[in-house]
Amino acid sequence: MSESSARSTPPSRRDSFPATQRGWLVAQLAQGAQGLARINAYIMETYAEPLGNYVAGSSFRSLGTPKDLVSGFFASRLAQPAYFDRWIESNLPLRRWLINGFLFFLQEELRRHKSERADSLASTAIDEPRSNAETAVEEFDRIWAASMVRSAANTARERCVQEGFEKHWSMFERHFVHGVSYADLAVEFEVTGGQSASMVRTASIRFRQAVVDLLLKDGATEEELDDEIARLMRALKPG
Amino acid sequence: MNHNMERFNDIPANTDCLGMLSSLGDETDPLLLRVVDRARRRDGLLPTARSIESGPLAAAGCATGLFFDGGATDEDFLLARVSCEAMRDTGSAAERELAALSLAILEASLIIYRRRLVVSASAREADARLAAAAAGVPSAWARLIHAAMRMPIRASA
Repeated sequence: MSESSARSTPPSRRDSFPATQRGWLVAQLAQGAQGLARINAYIMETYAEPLGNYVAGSSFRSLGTPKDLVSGFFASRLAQPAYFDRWIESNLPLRRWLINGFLFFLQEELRRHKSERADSLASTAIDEPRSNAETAVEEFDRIWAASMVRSAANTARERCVQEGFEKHWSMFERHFVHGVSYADLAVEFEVTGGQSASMVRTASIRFRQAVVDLLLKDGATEEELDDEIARLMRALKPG
Repeated sequence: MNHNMERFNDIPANTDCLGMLSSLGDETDPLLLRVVDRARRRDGLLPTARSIESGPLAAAGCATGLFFDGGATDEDFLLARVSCEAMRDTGSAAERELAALSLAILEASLIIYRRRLVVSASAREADARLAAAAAGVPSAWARLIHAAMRMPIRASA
């Protein structure tokens, strides 16, 4: 499997993706080494957790600790000058580009382990990790979606706190996470029903903005946002 | 699953992410959300009591006597509802918002005086509709809606 083969799309030239269409990452790429450093920091901060959680739940976990495997993947790929140029040409969401690359890296690691063990202990049996690219992508989508939602929620909550809307965020969580009605929120938080709707809306607008920011950074276009959110909701639905 | 790569995160790992993401969907009438947003920001005009009382609710007669005081018959409710829906479907932007608010008032009145829903398909939808409407209507009508929000309701057959 090649790094971009899980969902192949026709290659496109980089100049067909203006910065406004491919978002923040492309704009950073245009700024050279400093921009690349910012991208790498962002990738490690945002994608290390879901990649690590993916490998921790996969049959590749015997290859090493999730932290070491993710660090090894980042070290081998992010140092390549053209790594993100190839992502742009792939036309894939960044998370898909990364999981494809990660699976490829894990296969490389597997081959290396086999080779080393064959040298040192020729008769030892090796468990063969099984991976199906499509299933892996779906599983990673689910893990990434959950991580992204929590990251967006953290950002939105921090913004609410900074703006003096901590109570609004609590009401948002009570309504959308715990299923408390607006009528009951009004009683619980000692506000009117109209205020409960208004306050929850204040927080939900900030949460939406945080989700949109992350999706744009992942490579979605403005036009794709609604579809992308629907896709993430499907990924998060149990069973 | 082993979560040993989980970074410190204030939002717990077992949070209902799907529930949170569902906040991005259309929980309630988008027309009402526009009213909520103006009320929240306090940067735009909201319907006055006069505009509500002379709007589509008046198709059946005196809106206050019928829907606030409870004098409406089933036929009055039906007439007002048809009038609201026609305005919501064909009116200007402001008229469509007025129609959406008027439908919420009808819903509130039906809950209080008939103990049933007609406009909303579920108690959850009615709760969101009433709360949003309450944010944008004048205080007298907001009191009616708040009273409805405190009442047990059931969806109509």
